[in-house]
Amino acid sequence: MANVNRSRGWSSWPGTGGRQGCLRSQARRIRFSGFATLALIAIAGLVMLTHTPVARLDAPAVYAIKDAQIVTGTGKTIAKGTVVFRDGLITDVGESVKIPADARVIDGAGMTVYPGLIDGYTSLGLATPAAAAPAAGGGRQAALAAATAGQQPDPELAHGDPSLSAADQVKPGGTGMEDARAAGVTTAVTSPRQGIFAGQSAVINLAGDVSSKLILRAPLALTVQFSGSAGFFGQYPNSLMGTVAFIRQTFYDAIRYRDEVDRYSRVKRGVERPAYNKKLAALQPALRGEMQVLFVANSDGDIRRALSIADEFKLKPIIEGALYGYRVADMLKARNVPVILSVDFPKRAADLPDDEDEPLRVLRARAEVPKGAAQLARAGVKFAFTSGTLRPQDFIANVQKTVENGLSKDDALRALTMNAAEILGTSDQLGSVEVGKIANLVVTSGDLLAKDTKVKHVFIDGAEIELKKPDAAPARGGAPGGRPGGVDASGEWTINIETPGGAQTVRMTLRKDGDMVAGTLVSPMGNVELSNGRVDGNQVRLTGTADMGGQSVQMTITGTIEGDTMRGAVILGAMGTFDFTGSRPPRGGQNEN
Amino acid sequence: MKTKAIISLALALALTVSALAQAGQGTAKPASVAASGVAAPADTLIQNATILTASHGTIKNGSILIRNGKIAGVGTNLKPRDANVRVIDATGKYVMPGIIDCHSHTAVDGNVNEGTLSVTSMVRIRDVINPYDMDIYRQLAGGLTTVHVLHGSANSIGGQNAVLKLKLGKPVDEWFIADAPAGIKFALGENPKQSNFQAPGRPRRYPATRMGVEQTIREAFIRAKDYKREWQEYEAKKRTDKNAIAPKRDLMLDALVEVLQGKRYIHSHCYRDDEILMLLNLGDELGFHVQTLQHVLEGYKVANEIAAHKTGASTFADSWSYKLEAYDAIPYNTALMTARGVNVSVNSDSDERARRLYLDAAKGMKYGGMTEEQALRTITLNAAMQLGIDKRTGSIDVGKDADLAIFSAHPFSVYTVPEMTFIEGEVYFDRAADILARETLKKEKEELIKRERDQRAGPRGPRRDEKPEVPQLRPNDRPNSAPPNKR
Repeated sequence: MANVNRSRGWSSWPGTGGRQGCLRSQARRIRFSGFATLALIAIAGLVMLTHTPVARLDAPAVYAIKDAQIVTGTGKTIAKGTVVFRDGLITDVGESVKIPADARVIDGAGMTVYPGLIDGYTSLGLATPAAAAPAAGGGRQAALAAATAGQQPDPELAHGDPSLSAADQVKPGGTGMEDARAAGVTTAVTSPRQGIFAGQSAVINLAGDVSSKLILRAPLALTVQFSGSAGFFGQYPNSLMGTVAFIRQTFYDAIRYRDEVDRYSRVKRGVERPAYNKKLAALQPALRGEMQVLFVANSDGDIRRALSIADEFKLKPIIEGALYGYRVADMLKARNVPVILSVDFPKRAADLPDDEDEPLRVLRARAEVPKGAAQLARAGVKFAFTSGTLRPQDFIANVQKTVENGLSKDDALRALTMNAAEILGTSDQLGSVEVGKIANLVVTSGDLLAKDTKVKHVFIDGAEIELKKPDAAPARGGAPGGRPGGVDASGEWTINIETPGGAQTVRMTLRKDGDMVAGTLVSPMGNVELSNGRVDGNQVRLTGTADMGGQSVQMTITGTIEGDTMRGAVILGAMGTFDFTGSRPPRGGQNEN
Repeated sequence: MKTKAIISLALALALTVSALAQAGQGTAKPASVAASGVAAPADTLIQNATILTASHGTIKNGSILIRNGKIAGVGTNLKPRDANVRVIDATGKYVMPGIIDCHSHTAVDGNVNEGTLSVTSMVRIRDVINPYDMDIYRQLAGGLTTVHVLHGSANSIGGQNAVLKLKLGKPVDEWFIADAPAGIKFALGENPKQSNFQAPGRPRRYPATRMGVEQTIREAFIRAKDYKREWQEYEAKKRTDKNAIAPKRDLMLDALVEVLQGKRYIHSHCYRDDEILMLLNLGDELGFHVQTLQHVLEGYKVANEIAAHKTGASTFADSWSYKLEAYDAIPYNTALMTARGVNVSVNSDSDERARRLYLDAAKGMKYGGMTEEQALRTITLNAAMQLGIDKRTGSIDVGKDADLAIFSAHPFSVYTVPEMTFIEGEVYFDRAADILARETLKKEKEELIKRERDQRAGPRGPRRDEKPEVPQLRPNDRPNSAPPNKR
C-alpha cells in the first residue's frame, strides 16, 4: 500500500501474494458473492490504471517524522518524538525511536502529528445518481400527462434500495476527497443518500488509486432517513407520518420474508417457493442485529421516531445529524446510542436584511445548537463529528465552534479520531497514533483546533498525499466567499432540470452579496430563497429550503459556470439529485475567460 | 371598542410570549412559570370563584381543591388543610373545565395528509406531534387543555389520530392520554373524491365520486375481514403445524381490524345528509360503529338517524357556505341535533379558532336557545364523551383530572379574558406571570441579536480598516470586464 504503483488489480487482493498489510485483514471482512465479483473488480482495477494516483510517484514505503509533538489520541501527548511507519502501518512511536536507514525523514520540529481525522457521514466517492430518462415534452404538463397515462415514476427514487452498497460504487478521486484531505480528513463514512432506505454505508480511506483500496469496512450500516422522500410525484409516502409507517411496514415485510425463506430452507415439498427479493434480503442483517442502522435524524422528534422504530424491531441504531440531540441527551445516554454529530449548524440566511425580525426561538436555536456537543459530552453520549453539507475546511472550523461553546478540546479531538473509530468499529485500525495501526496521520503547524493552524502533511495508508494548493482551498476559517477571483455568478438564469417526471424549467436569479452569492429560484412548485452561496473558481454552490407539499426539503445547487452557461445538479434532500443545464442572457462586450 | 382592545391585547400577549413557549427542554427555565408547567405544591385551593362544572350546574362562591393532579374537592366551604397549600383567590372570576377541542390539526410535523392513497390507516399522528409548535401556547392561553389531533380529510380512510393534553415543556410522550381509546379519521365528500382539484404532476386518484368513496371504504373492510380470518386461521393452525408461519403483518389492515373489534373509534369528516346516511348504513352492513361525525353540517337533517346510531356530532358553531357542500349549513345545527338527543360538540379545526372556542360554544345559546350548561358541554363534557375520556376530564367533579381554566368574566362574555390554565393541577398558562416575563424575553432577544451582529461584524470589521495599499489584481478585474456596479 505504501507504494501505490507497485500493485494493482489482482495482486492487491489477499491470497495473491500482494504485500498489502493494512488491507489484508480488511479485505477479509468484505463478503464476496463469488469469483465473478473478483473478476469484475480486477477489470475495474485495470480500468483504474488510467487514473492519476494521488500519492507522490516517488513515495517511499518507509517514513519517519522526527522531533514533532505527537498527539497520540490515546490521551498521551509526546512533547518531542518520532513516528515511524512502513508499508502503511505505524511501526514505532516514542521519544527515542530508532529511525530506519531506508526511511524518508521529515523534520517535524515545530509541528504536531495527529491521528487522521474522520468525517462520520459523507457521500465522498459516490456519484450522484443519474436522473431517469425524461418524459417526452417537458415540465408540469409532461409530468401530468405521464401520470394520467398511468405511468408511475420509479418508486425507488423515494423508497430507496437497502441493497445498494457504497462499497460497490465508491470511486477514488474527485475534488470532494481532495478538499477533505487538505483539511486533514483521512477517513470518512460514505453512504448512498437517495430514498428512505438509502443503502449501506462504508468506511473509506480518502486515498487510493483503485476503489477496492479505499474500503476499510463494508458494509458499515444501513442508512434510513425520514426527510425528503416527500412523494415527489404523488407516490406513497408524501408525509412524515407516512414515512414512519413505510419504514415500519417494510421491516414487517422483511420479517415475513425471513419466515418464508426459513421455512423453505427446512421444508421444500408442498411449500410455495418464496420469490427472491433483494431489498428484503438486504434488511435481514439489520433485523438480526448484525448490521447497525444509521438513522439520519437532526430534530429531537426524528431521534424519538428513530429510537421507537429501533425498539420495535430490536435494531442497533446510530443517530446521524443530531443537531437537536442535546434536547434528548439523557435518552441517548440511557440507551447508549452512538451519535454522529453534525456541525452544520443552523445559519442566518446570508441575504437577510440586518434588521429582519426573527422569532426568539430561531435566535435561540442558533445560539444553542453549537453548545449541543458539550451537552452530549456532559451527558456521556459517545459521538463522532460529521460535516453535513459543509465544505471540509468549514467542518474543522465548526468543530472549533463546539470548543468555543464549551466542549473540551480533548473531547473534540476524540470525536474526530478515537470515538469515531470506535463508533465505526475500526478502533483496531484507526483513531490513534499507535504501533500497528494504519498510518493515517495529519501533521499541522500547531494546535489542530486553533484558528490559524495549517495542515502541513497528510498521510493515508502510509503514503504522503499531495495537498491541494492553499490558494485553491482557503485556510480553515478563512474568507467565507471562497477563493477570491471566482467568476461572477449573478444574472437571470433559465435552468432546465431533468426530473423523473420530465424536464422542469425554472428561473434562478442570482446576485452578489458581499463575498457571497444569493438569489431566488422560481419554480411551479413555489419559490425557494437561495443563500449562503459561494463561488470557487467557476464552481458555484447555493443552498435553500424548498417546500414540497408541506415538507421542508433542503435544496443544494452545485454548478459549473462556463461563460453564460451553467451545468450541474440540484440535490433535493433524500428525494434525489437531478442534473440541470442553464443559461443566462449574454452580457454584451464581455470576454469572460 | 373595548372588545377590540382586549382582543388585540390578548393577541399581542400570545404573540409575544409564545416565543417563550418554544424554549424546549434542556434550556434554562425562563423567569415565567407560564410555559413550563411548574409543579404545584401538595395542594392548590381555588377560592371564591363562580364554578361552571359542566356536569352539575353552577356553584357561586365556590372552591376547588386540587391534590396530586386530581380534583379532590368541589364545593362552597372548602378550607386549606394546612399552610402548604397554594391558595388562589378567584373572587369575581369564573372557573370552567379545561376546554377540549374535538377536531384539531395542531402541532403536526410535516404534511397533515398522507394524501397519496385513499386508504392510509397505517399512518399515525402520534408519530409526528411537534411539541414546539408555536400554536400550543396560544391555545393554552385560550383555556384549551385537551386536543383531538386528526389526520387530514384527503382520504376515504385517513390515519390514526391522537388524543393529547397540551403539556408544553414536558417530553412529548407524556402528552398522550394513555387510556384514551384509539381513533381513526374517515372522510366523505369533496375532499376524498378530489374531483375538483388536482395537484400538479399528480396522477388522478380513485375514487372520484361519492359512490367511489363508499366502495373504497367497503373494499378496505372486506380486506380487513379476510386479513383477520387469515390470522385466526394461523393462530388455530400453529398449535398443530410447526411449519405454519405468521401472515404478513399489515399495518393498514391492523387498524381496520381494530375498528371491527370496537377498539378503535371512527371519527368521520362529512357535510351532507346523504353521505352521513351512507356511512351509518355502511357501518350497519359491515359491522362498524361510527363514534363521531365531524363537521356534519347537515346533521340537523338526519339528527334522528344519528341519535339512533349512538353517534356523536362534532360541528362548527357558525361556519357555512365556504364551499358547495357546505351550502345547507345553519347555525342552529348544534341546538337542533342536541334537541334530538345527539351528543354534540363544537370544534375548531383551526389553530386560530381553537384559542377562542369558548365564544363558539356561546353561539349555541344565541342560535337555538341551548341552556348555558348545554352550550358549555359542547366544548367540555360532550367532547370528552365523544373521545371516551369523560371518566378523567371534561367536567369539574371530584376524582377527575384537575384540567381547569380560570376566566376574568363569564367565558361566554365577549369581554372575558382567560387568566390561568391548569392541566392535571399544574399551571401551563398564567397571564400575570406571562406579562412579567415579557421584559426578560425582550432583553434576551436583544442580547441574542446583538451577539449575532457582533459576530457578523467580527471577521469583516477589521478588514474594512486594513485596506491594502496595493490593490490585488483578481482574474475578473481585468480591464475588459465591466465594473461590478454596472451589471
